[in-house]
Amino acid sequence: MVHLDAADARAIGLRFARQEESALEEAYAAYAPTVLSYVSRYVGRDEAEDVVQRTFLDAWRNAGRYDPGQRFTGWLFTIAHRRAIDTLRARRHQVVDVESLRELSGEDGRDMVNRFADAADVRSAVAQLPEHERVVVEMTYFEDLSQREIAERLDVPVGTVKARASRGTRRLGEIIRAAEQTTNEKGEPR
Amino acid sequence: MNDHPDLVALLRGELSNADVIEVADHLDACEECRQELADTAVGHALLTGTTRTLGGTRTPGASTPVELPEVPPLELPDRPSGGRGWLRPLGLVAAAAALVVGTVAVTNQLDRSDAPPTTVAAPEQSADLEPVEGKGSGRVVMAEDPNRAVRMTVETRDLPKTRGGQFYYVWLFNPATQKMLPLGVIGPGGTASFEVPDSLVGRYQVVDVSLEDDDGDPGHSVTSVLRATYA
Repeated sequence: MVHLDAADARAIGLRFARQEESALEEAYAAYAPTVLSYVSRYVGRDEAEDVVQRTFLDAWRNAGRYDPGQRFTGWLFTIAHRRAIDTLRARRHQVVDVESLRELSGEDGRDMVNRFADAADVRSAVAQLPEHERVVVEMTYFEDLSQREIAERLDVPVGTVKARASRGTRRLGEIIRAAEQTTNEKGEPR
Repeated sequence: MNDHPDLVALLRGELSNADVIEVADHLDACEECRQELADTAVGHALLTGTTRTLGGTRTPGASTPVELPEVPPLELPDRPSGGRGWLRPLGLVAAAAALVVGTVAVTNQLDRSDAPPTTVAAPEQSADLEPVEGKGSGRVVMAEDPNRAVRMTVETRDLPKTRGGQFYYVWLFNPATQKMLPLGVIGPGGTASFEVPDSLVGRYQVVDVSLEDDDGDPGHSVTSVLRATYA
């Protein structure tokens, strides 16, 4: 088993709660792309960037109300969810996709918030992998390339790709596990 | 397949049928590989779920290339004296933090039975709070303060009693930009007074009272109960 310090995984939320300036910058770098992907799904790409900006400004303005025992991404995506609803409601004279509204509200909306928060946590964990493992994991899962294709692109033997994919995949599980344990130790339900 | 098998390829379905069977036979005899398979499956499940969420596909196993969009730099509003809509890129966060403290540092005096109601001298502007849905009403009175501030007194009447863990909250709202400024808590039938810098009052046009859950979320719950337009 690979044992990793969970500090990196939880540091952003803790420092955000303490309103440390650098935490906003790091949170934006780590999570804004996933938040943008989430809100684009509902409000469209044209308005999504503005919703992302308002989400982070809201979060920062109210950082003192964030409980570090709560999962940071869950809190952040709940804010994004509400700002997306604001945006759809403001479209009084425009056609709003009924499916989008249905998916955004109620149980489905909550489920989607949690799924994107999960995805943001995994993306953040992937970014913490050693560079040579991160590249192979991203190509494998996010670009859907075969090991032979990755070997050709990186100009390394297929065996090297296999080893990096194996180590990176297992290490990723350990990073997420460590972050989950940290959250649970704080005694707060997700 | 004499060495330990490629478990990532196994989980991703990249092996031939014959190789899959060979891996199965190997796992029967190799405790080390069984443990490794369990660890690899955890990472694989996390990555596959993420790919499905971000790629928008709902079919397990049907992976879609995931490319996260580029985001523009975060911009923070600068000091109110800099003019409306003046934004600056992230980087000078310290100044912004000071601004945030300044802009939300409104004083809130909740009406209590043992405290006299706020006296509003020479009211300059008032507006009725109308129910968004259901019952309730109220009034907003705004009076100038000597210190370049506006004393905003909000009175609510006949709102439903809140359940445990809920409360009513007063906001300023700009319908054009969707920006909201949180002011403070108010009772279902009470008065609260807020001192707001006059430079901020002009940036908003609506007073909004919302029903909030005490869930730690700092944003508006999107459940507005009363609204008044004052500009």
